[in-house]
Amino acid sequence: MILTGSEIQKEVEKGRIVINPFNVSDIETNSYDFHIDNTLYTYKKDILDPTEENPLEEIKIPASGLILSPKKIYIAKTKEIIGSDYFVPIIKGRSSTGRLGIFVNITSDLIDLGSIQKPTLTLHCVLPVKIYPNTKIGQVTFWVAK
Amino acid sequence: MIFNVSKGFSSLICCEYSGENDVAKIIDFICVFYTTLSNIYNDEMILTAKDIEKEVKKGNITIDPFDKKCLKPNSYIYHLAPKLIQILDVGDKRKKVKTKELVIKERGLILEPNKLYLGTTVEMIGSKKFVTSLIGRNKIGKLGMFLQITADLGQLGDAHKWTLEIKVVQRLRIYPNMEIGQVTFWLPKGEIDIQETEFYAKQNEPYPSQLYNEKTK
Repeated sequence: MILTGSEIQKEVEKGRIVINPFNVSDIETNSYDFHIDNTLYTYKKDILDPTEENPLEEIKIPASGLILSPKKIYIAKTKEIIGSDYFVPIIKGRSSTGRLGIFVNITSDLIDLGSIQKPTLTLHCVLPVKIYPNTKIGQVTFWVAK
Repeated sequence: MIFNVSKGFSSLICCEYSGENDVAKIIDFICVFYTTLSNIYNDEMILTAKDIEKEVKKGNITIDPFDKKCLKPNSYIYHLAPKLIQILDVGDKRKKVKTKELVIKERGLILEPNKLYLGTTVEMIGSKKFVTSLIGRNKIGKLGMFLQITADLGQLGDAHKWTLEIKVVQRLRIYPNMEIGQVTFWLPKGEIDIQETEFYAKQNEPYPSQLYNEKTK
């Protein structure tokens, strides 16, 4: 069962869902829109290896915007702290970002119960695309756990 | 359904209480009570670790081999089998796709961007009661691996080694039997009608698309 916008608001008020900062204007019909944090990271190495350390390089999104390359993975975070001990959050892109060929996460959209932090976003674009600071980039849904 | 039940109750209550306001209040209470009950027992939900373990023991979910250590708060971690195939040609929907077999050795295998690979889970996974959904691990996603291309939703049915659709953004070294993804289980709503013709659900090898085989309607 997925929570509707008004249920998300109710649960935030009851403290059973954490979204901080929380703006009523970012509530959607059955999700909540989140913003991108302005610090991104890319990998320095050519070949990535899950058994080794993969050093990162920091990039800030300037006010004039940053062009993302289709050949790279960009690690980012949300501006908001998001999580819940009662509902399982699942992160999605927004249709407006998807239509520009931006993936907001790669393969893992599921957040563990009890994990309350700024969720990691893994940005990847199909075509070169420019993004700006504080962009409303994705949405989070909340699902009832048994 | 809920409405009918509370209506039945309301006629019963009418015999005992004369005050109309009281009746309205009681009907309201009963409606809320039934709605809450139906929310608790009837709606689709995601299983927590404890429930996944319980259902595996009961035999409603198959995960074989099963290791308690692989349970996450609301999912189970599965592993990558050493055999992969690379899709060489998907140019024509009406023709069988050309593939090349690859084996992931202990020292690893480097996956290249702009290529499509199919692998399988080490585990036999399936359930006739809970809908499975397969995604990649968070740490694998951070390294740019897409695991399942758009179709992460499984079907109710026989347990098998699931085919994994794999693509990477940057070059990535992978290892045999590595922790690669997590599977979640969802309680469906409605009558279950398991289709016997679901051919993908009987395959334990990386299994290419059979779209060319589907009859055009």
